[in-house]
Amino acid sequence: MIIGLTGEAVDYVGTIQDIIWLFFPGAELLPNNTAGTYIKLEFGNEGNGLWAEAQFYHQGAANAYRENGTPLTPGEEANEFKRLAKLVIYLSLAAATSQLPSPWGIMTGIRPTKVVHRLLDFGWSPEKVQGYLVDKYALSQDKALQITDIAGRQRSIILTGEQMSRFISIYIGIPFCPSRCLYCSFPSYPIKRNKLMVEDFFKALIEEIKRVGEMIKSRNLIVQTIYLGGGTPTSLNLDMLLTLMDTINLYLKDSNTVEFTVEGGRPDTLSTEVLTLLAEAGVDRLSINPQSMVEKTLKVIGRAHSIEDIYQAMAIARKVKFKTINMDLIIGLPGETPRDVQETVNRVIELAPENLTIHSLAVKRASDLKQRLEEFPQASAEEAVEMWQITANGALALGQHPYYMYRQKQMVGNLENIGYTKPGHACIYNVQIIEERQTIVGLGVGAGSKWLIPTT
Amino acid sequence: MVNPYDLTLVNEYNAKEPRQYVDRLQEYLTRKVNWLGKVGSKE
Repeated sequence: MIIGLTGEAVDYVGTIQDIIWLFFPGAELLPNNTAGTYIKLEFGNEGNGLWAEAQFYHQGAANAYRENGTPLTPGEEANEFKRLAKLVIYLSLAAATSQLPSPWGIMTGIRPTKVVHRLLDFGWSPEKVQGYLVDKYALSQDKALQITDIAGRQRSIILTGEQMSRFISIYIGIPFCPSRCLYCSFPSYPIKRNKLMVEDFFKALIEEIKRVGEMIKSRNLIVQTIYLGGGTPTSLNLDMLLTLMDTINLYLKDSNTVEFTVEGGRPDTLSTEVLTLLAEAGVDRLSINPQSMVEKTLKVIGRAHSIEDIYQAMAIARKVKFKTINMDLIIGLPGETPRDVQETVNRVIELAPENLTIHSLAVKRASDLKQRLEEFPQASAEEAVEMWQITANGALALGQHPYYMYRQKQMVGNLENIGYTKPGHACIYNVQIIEERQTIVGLGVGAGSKWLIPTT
Repeated sequence: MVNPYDLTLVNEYNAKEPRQYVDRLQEYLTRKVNWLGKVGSKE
């Protein structure tokens, strides 16, 4: 489909294209074109505030929508025009097509809860925030309630301005796995086929940890949390893991470090020796990530382990005693039905992890799945929503509540990724990285750093 | 009193390929030492 753009829509194409694609996925947007279907956008700034109007011309009919707005603080007019542009286009397209394609309305960003924190920082009540999200972002009542509730639970974790200048977290990326999963878009190299590369990488990583650790100590910064991810860190051999733990404990961890997570995503890497070593090194949160507890799915997604391996890893982890065990699941995996997800959730309930993290499948460019989409048709949006509800019910059965969430583009069913926790087990690192109120120093391959620096 | 909204967020990434990461390590170290010097500083 081709949709023409005219008026301010031409300059705001980067802002509005995600909204248009909610209604017309992949439509080609042609600037300065009114030959067929097109959108006209106009702005104004008059005595009592800003306004925007969208007109959608389609199949001989026109739908127009106009909205007034006021910036949250002086100087934010540009942001307010962007919000207004998205909203009037969303509502005019909704009227023309008689559909509301996303419960998230015009919130197409990755971190919806950041908006909630900003409003709570103004001293607004949760009820006022929810009303604002429904009116100004076209969120459904359910989503407005959900993210306000999550943000409210996070308030004791996110940092104040003063704390932000002292507390940091560390992420360490290990880019090796036993095998690469079909859906994976992260740096991941089969460890057995890359022995020399592993050794060179490991030496470099140890040097990076030492140099950065020395600088952190000299600046009197406090390492609040450490997160070892990847890849599969537990695919390193025992000698390397021991050296890594010793180096982390000597150079990064301090008496104020309150959380140390290791992703042991692949249960076939979690022997008694490995888990004992981690626990003795102070790791208190372990992530065992089956993604699915259905045998045929494990084979399809390229995992070289069985469901039995997951049960065994969990049994060892419980014996070794980690404070918190997380399990990651993905909904919308190739070939899975809601019944498969129910089977997975039933098995996870038996295993009773303290955290459950639910990802909605997002097909990324860097994944093998992207190249093989024809072989693996995706779940429909309706099925995805049903699967999402099954996992939410499972979390409830485990006595867990949602404590962080984020969204990605190309997510099946236009859903979100959501972390659940039993009370007292929320992963502080996950909250800090999503809410972006803490400096995160990323070490190792593919690691992202988030520097929060005083504005000069 | 530091206002959270007076802080600027800068995102940076190490290379996604292990060999490139090894080759560029000194560059990453220099940058990280520089950024760490600014975290919490008010000058």
